[in-house]
Amino acid sequence: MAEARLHYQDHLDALEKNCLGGLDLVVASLDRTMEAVEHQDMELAELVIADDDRIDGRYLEVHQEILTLLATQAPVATDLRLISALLHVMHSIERMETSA
Amino acid sequence: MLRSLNRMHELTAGARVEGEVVLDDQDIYAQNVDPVEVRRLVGMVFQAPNPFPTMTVYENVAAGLTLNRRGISKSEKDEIVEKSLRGAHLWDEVKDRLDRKGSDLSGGQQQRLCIARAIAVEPEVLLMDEPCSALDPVATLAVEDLIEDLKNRYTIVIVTHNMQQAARASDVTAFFNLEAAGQPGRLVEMDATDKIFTTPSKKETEDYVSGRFG
Repeated sequence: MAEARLHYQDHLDALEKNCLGGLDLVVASLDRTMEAVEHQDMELAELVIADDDRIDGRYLEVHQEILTLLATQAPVATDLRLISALLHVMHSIERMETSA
Repeated sequence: MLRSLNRMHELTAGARVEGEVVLDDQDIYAQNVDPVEVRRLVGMVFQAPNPFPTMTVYENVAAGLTLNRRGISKSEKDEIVEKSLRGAHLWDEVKDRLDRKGSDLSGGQQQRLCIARAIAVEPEVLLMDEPCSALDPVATLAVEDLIEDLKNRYTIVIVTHNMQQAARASDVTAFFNLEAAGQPGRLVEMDATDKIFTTPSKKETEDYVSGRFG
């Protein structure tokens, strides 16, 4: 039997990538935070604070994608568990960035 | 599979029987069991609504009573017809036209009429073979609501190809599939519905409920 729901799978993969990509943004922010503290660099600190908005935007974007997938594709089993996990992950990423 | 639960598959040429089907400790395939009695205990609703075309709404619901309980009084019959139509969430829509042909009703109403006809003889089990496949979404949800109510009183076995319907309407889900085209069907997995749709045990079930394989 041929594999089905290819567009749905693409959509899920993109969602996962978008969400986990948020982690790279946070890691970069943390590095810059450490640097700003170490060198008492106010300008860099301002940049880190501005980055918080980018992560908040990413959080809203992922959240909306999840709602759309739930509403239109009725994911179940592994897909549903993945989506539920991504929601948690994205929330944690957003929290880490705010802390940074 | 469904027909083997009320001995209707025996009507198929070349059918054979192995093993047993036990209902309330009684094997319904035992020598001394009358298939007609089995079919009274195990009612069936089919894919396409099939009210008896020459009969009125009232006569459709009363058909099983007329056959099974000769000599039943008119008032008792009236009572059972009303109770069954109420049970099938149809009474308010047809109470003023009980003498109209059953086939004049809409598709969704006809299917609920068939359900009323099935529950009028008070079976123990209701078999439903794709009961909503010929219905629009609103009529489908009306029948699913009805199933939710009826399952308090009857054991309902419903066959559906609609995964979301299985998830919505059932407490226990059994997944059947073919090994290959032309091969007989087999039971792949049976479990609580929430388990089947969140953490199924078999990869084959997972692929099917996720819609990954046709």
